[in-house]
Amino acid sequence: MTGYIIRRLLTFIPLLWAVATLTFFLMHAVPGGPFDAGDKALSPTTRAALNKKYGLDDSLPRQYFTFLGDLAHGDLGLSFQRARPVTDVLKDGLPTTAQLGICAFVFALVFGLTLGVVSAVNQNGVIDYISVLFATAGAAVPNFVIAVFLVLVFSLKFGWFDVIGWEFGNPRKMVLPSVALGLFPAAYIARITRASMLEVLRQDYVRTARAKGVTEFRLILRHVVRNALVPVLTVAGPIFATLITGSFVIERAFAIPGVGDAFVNAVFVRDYGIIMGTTLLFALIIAILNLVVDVAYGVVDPRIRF
Amino acid sequence: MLTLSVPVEGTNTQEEYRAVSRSKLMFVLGLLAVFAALAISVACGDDDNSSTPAAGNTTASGTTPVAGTPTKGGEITVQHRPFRSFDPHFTAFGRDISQQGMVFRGLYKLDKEDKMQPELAVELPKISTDGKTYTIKMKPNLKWSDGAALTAKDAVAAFQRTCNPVVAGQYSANLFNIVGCEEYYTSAKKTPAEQDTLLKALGVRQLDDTSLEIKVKEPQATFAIQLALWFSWPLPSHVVKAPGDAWPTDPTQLVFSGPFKVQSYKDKDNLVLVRNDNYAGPHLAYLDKITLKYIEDLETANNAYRNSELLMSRANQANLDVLRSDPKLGKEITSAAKSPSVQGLTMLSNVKPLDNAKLRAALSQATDRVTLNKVVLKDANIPTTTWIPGDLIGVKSDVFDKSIGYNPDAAKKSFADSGVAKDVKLTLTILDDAQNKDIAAFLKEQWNKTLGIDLQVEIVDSPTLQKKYEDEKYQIIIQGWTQDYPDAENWVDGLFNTGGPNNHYGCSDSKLDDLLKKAKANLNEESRKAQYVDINKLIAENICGMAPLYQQRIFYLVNPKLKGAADFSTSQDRYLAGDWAVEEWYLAK
Amino acid sequence: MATAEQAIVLEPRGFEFQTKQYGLWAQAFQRLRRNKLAVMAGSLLLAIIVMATATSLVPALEGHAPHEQQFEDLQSSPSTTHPLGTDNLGRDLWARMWEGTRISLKIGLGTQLVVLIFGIGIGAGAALGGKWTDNILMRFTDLMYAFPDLLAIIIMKSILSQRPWPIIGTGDPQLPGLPGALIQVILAIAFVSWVTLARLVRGQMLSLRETDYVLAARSMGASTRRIVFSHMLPNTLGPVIVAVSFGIPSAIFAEAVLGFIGFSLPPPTASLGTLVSEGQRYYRANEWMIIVPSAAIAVLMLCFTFLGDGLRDALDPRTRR
Repeated sequence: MTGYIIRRLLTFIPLLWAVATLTFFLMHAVPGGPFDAGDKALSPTTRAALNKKYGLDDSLPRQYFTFLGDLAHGDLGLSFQRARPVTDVLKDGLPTTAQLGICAFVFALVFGLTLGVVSAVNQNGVIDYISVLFATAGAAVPNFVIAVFLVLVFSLKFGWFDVIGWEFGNPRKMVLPSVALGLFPAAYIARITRASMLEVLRQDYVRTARAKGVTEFRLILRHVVRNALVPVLTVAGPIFATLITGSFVIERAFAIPGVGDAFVNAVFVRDYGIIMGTTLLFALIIAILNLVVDVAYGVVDPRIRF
Repeated sequence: MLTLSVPVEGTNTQEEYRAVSRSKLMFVLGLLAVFAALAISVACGDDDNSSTPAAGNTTASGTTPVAGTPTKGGEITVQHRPFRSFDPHFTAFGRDISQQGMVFRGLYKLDKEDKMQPELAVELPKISTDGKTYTIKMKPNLKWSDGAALTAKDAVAAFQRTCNPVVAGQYSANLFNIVGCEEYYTSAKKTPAEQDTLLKALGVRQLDDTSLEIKVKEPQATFAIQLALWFSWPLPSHVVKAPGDAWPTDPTQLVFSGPFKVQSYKDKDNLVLVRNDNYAGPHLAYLDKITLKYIEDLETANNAYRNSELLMSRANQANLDVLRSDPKLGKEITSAAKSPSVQGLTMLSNVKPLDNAKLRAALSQATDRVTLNKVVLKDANIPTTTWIPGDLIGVKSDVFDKSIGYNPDAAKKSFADSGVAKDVKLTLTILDDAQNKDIAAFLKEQWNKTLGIDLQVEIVDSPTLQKKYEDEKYQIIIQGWTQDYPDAENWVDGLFNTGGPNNHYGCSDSKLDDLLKKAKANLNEESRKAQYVDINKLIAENICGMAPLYQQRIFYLVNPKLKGAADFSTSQDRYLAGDWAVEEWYLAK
Repeated sequence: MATAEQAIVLEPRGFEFQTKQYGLWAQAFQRLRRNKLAVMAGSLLLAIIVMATATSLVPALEGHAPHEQQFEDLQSSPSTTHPLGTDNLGRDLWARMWEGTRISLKIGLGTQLVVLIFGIGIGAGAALGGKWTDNILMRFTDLMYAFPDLLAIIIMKSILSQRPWPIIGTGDPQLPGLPGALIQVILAIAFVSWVTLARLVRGQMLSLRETDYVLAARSMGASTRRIVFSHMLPNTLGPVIVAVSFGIPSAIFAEAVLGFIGFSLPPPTASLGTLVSEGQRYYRANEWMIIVPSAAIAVLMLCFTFLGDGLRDALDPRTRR
């Protein structure tokens, strides 16, 4: 297995190179540059000076090789819009985004699993209905709308939570963003858990266990949930990746200084450095999570060999 | 991450909802309806929240002040947006300058009436009789926030920095009248030795510890005012050693000359300012501490304001009607009396078919500015037909209504006279935001009704729009100008001259060129103003690429406890109400 | 997960024992018909499609033209003249909702059409094209998988809208009912959505290639072409149909998020997603502006989800009871 992991890790290098190359040429193909996002148009003199300052007056291939050379040294260059090294911007934003993503993930997992298990056990009962409703509504309403509702109800109406900001450990600032971000995956996990539970419940070994007189509670926990978790595990990786890389809507709605919002802004102001940095970061996260899922899958399901 | 696509490979579970009956779907739909009803009740309900304020706890002590007298002390949290650069000699963004202006100050500043006042200088600059030499005397014993002396050396270094080719300042052109500034700025490709020679030739020099002299190429009525603007603010040359050195990316590493100094900074999150006791203005700042909380989305910011997490925020003007009719917020919404910005229909007027002045006139006359403002823009702005704001040259905002204002009959006539066919292809390119889309929908409908033309709308993001504009590859866009300094010259110089650096709408008129040149060098206030009145008239009546639509106004939500901000709100506001005079803010008892 | 895909491989079509030639599809249809929820969702969806089409053809059903601005009736609540109220420009929300539904459906279906072409093409190409082709195509798929969707969509959209391309260029619609800007959105979303399907098709085909009946057909001298078209493709269709039925609402949803961050169709045309983001901007003035399109999206999502679930169950042999 170690050999497998090392082999997979080695494939990251060409993958990241390919992502970097693709991003580099695609983003330069988009009209407008980093200095076109200002309040006013620039005079040609100023533009020439700026291009010279940031090395944008070199030919594109040359910029590309300069970039690759810097990248090899771990230098992602300068953010044009923030006048800071890209690595600093990422270092500042990533912990916040990761905290938010983890909180949302934990919420989605706990809530989704509970809901899925409870509704499968009560198949076609009232609890099941409510869970289906939740799973459907949670997945059918865009999260920027959910964020608005949550703020209106729980911040402005009841005053339980703050409208803005993120502070790890402060529930006033943590609950709403985590819920708004985690609702969609929670609904999804609930659906999968429920379906997978129902399938396991029909298996022969469950019938056998039941026949042998194992108590229902013990049966569900020991036999059913454990076996039903495998498909959930498969989607946990992609879900987590989505939470980390796709939190920009929630970051914007709650004014949370993470990399997601920085990335979207960067695209819209052509901040090449940040675009490149976040793209590589996200690609790396996705690749790592894929690897983790594959490895975890092998651990859970002994039939899979590397 | 965006498509939220469900990984199908993982969903190999088949049992979901199999046995769910018809009633279940109805149940689900019913509960969705309940959700919707809940939403309605919440949205309609009075969401006033009178919880204890978290953002403004007065910490002042001492005697009870008389109402209306500023008191010292207090901490506030207000909304702002993340700065893109903290370097005043480089930046071009209102939000940046707003924050820099809280911690840096110049030799001069403009007061509430837009009059030049000395700030770090003792008096207004002495100008030689030929108008080409400016001598400035600074206050003695000036100090940076760290206690180091602030001398004429720092003031001179600022000009060296703004004209420096490596810094590539975005407002450097405003100083190109200084001897050698343009030559130095454009020397990026020259050798260091050549650049050094050019730097030495720059017409700014230190006379002694507290005085400096600036030489300009041509007399210019508005040169003095440049000395009050951000790109002329003294450079802390004991921190940024050489004028061409990089500006520290972390503002806490800097030293400050303004009423506040930076205490802490968290990128994209907040900037905390505390009073600078070395500030040399008329009085020290009243507030102890200002926290700028960075919030890009204004609806989020306004909700935080409603929730008492902020004492001031830009208002979300999409909901201006709701804010105005709110019993509490309606009283807390403010706006500067004068507007620094005009938006207009910008038409590329040297390319077919918009090279036809009659067609441009027809479009202008077919645009109902009053309804546009009232319906689409929530009655926020002032409809206008004059390009240069009326208060700068003493005209009214509706001065050209008769000739280019809304008049469907005149529009039809102009269109017929233009000889342009009804199936003419006109494309309006707009930014992708709700307000612009509404404006586009409005114009499309109205021009179709009045002129029978079918306007195409194209939406792009900001850099694409700017690129199209600068490359002059558009037909019609909606854009305008925000003044850098309150003078008519700023509204036309470089914008309407043939080939002017900011003229991207093909305006070319020899009479206009001539007048613009004369007015710029004219030192006589009276005749200068008259020249600008003429210039303004020429622009309007030929619709030289620009048909003004409205003067844009900015609205703020200001908690009544925060005084001084709304009172100092003028056309100089850079991002927040009265942010250029932050030392005047105080908390009411 | 591979088990499920393999499990769908049923009795071989066109093989010697042809007793169950039509078994797969007929049985699947029977099973689908027994699933009341899926049937209801399918009927509702059909009704929505009929209504969306009808409103565009019969003005009386629409009540008002979707772009007609009535300034005396701004941001109003539901009334007899405007059954769902009006928006900030006095446009009728009922008419706007149906226009939005039409456009969102076009986006959903159009995206999946493109995804089908690319997904099947690349997936099948990788599975059948030999080791090198497989390697290259799969590395490309990995690359696209790791590439952030949002960036890809925005870049695609910007590049597409930058020139006056034929058909997809902005300006006059060159295909009836499909303005260029709409095709740009479809292509941009499809650009990031084909990866899952390509992987699915490849996995499916690789496992089919090793099945007994394909080996048998090959040993009996059937041409590759015949094997692919009469054995492998039809047996891949089950999971593909399921994937597509979930892909449609995903695309509709993705377009809504695009509208929120400011990448939408030129006004006055609006998809449901655009309407939601407009509604989010003006919800304080008129909450109906957010409720109407949100509910419409939710109902569409519901229908496609239940229908998709039904199809999946119907096409999976293990669910036969």
